[in-house]
Amino acid sequence: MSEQVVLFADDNPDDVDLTLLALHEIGFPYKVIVARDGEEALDYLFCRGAYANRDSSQLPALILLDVRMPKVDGLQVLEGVRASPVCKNTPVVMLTTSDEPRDRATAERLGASLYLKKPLAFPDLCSLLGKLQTLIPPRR
Amino acid sequence: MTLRAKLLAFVLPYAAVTVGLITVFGYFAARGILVSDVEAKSRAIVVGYDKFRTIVNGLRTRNPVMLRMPLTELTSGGALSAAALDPDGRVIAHSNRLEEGKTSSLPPFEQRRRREPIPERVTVSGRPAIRTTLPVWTEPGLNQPSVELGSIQVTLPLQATLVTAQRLSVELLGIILGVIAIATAFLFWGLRWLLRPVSELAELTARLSSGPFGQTIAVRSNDELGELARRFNELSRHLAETAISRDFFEAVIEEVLNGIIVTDAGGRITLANQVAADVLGRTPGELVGAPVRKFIVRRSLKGHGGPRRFSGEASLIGAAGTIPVLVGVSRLRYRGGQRSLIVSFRDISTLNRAKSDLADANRELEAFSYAAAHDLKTPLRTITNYSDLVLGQPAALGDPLMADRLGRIRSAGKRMAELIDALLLFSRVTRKEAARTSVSLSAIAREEAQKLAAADAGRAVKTDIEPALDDLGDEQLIRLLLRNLLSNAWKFTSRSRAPKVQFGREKVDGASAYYVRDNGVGFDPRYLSKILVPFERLHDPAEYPGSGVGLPLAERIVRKHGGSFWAQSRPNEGATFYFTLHRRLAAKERQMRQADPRDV
Repeated sequence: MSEQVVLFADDNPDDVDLTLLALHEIGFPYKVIVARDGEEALDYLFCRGAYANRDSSQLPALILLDVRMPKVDGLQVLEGVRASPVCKNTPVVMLTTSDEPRDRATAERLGASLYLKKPLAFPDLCSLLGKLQTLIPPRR
Repeated sequence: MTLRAKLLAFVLPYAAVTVGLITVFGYFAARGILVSDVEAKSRAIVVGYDKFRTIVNGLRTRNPVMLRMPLTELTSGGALSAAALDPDGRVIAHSNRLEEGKTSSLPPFEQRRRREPIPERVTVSGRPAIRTTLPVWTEPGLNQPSVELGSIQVTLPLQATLVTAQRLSVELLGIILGVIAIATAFLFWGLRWLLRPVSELAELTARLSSGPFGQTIAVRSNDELGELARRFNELSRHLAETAISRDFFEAVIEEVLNGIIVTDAGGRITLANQVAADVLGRTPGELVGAPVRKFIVRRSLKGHGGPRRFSGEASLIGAAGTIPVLVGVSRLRYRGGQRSLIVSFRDISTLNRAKSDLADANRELEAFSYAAAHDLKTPLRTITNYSDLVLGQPAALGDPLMADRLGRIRSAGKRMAELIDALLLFSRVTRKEAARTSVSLSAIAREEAQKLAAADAGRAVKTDIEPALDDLGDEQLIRLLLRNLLSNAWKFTSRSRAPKVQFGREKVDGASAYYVRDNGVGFDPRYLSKILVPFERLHDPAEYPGSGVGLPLAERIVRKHGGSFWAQSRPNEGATFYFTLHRRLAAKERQMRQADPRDV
């Protein structure tokens, strides 16, 4: 049986590093697949492009999406996820820099599980990411 | 036909008929008098004859020779003839001997028996004449009755008399005509004098119809015409005071900045000003007579100010295309039942363009703020988070100087992120349209106070919130407003011994004003105008932290609701922040704006 994975899409390398550091800090027990933008995230989810040859039976247990990304933004990825019969029930967490009410409303409408504002302090980031584990359903 | 001519025409026929009647009656009267004169004369001739004895004897004897002499004498006084007749009418003797022996007509015996002269109108050789018959009887004696001896007849000519009567009546006619001519002349001039006020009134009316109102005429008499002139002067003055001349009306119509079109009952344009023509790209002359429907796209307009007035947005069909306008339509009904439509409109294409430009600008600003928020905060987050990471390293823990410097970097980054958030919130609120639903201000204030108390559990602040304060407004914005005011009060009572925050409503200048009052540090009223400037601060951020947009934001929210925001405070005596919704209090706003920090 293969390891459970979490898909994480963010275009900012600093944020990616910080998030990975924080996940490491809290002892996050899942493998994190990093996509550098929304398009790459969708490629991974639907086994396209660079991920054409991956094992399609392995779906992420959780998807972490930055809202603002080049090409395809986080909200569009969320829309794609919810529209797909394969992963429509996968928990999706939105991460954002600007707490724009309109984005929050769109995310809620599209069925995001959580909408989190990226904190300024590292300890806050750690405690915020600690909540993620509760979203992942236990393995059958 | 003038009034004078009419009066003359009315009088002259009567005068003519009167003249005719007087002439005819005059003629008959003169003739009657003259004829009876002749009768009297003939009787006098017969009765006054001195040799009557001879005639009696002549008749008794029926001797013509005896009678001829007196008969000739009787004719000498101008008589045509004289005759002596027997009782049967046979001529015994005649001044014209050729007539002797003939029979002449006699008046009836009954008349003759009265022995009085009997005048008769007769015709002799076709000419009119008067013949007077004097019956001659014997003197009655003892036992001897009076016997008719015969008669004497004297005939006088009437021709000259009748001619005289005619001449008299002709002279009379002449006199009367002369009198009438003089009277007519007097009447002609008299009427002119009498009717002068009427012609003056007529002239004034003519002048008023073309010239300015207010002109008057002299009042010349106290009769009905004088009264008429007085009333007319009053009318003219009244018109001058109240009437608007057509020139004035048209000048106003032309000066108005709106397009104005007036139609008749059938919807045909009767008047259009230059603005209307310009908007439609036509000349006023081209518009007049055309149906108004040709230029207006029908829209459902809302009634306003009465059942005959409508207004709203509509489109006009101009020469160069459709023009959006704000239009007002009034249906008029004159007293005579005549109907009319007044359409006034304002071209709002510039306004619409400006609106759309503004919407574009707002969208751009929104996109910019969105990007700015994201792009400015992302590096800040890197700064603060990595500072935290470094601060967690053993090397930093061992070097207090490094830890202090890194700490400063981190808090500066946090402060900047807060300012960016405040700026974004401020710009978002400024752009937002305020909704209008029923809002419970008391409930919101209670919730926000509870949140403040929960977030700051170490402090015991007494809150006093008036219940059941409801109003119309935008719930989100009012929540933000109360949150800002309450947290402001919360913050500035942090050094008070018994901190107290109140929310309530009271009457100020006749309006319902809400207030948030605290017994905190307060501020100098000279700085009132400063508290509405974003990022302006009256206190040290280290002592009282905050972004500096709380109160300016509160003021913008109140203004969006059509209300006023003002404050009252003294240093160390607490502060009260007031606001109204839907009603502006200019005096309070002025008081806020005019506070000058340089005042001592």
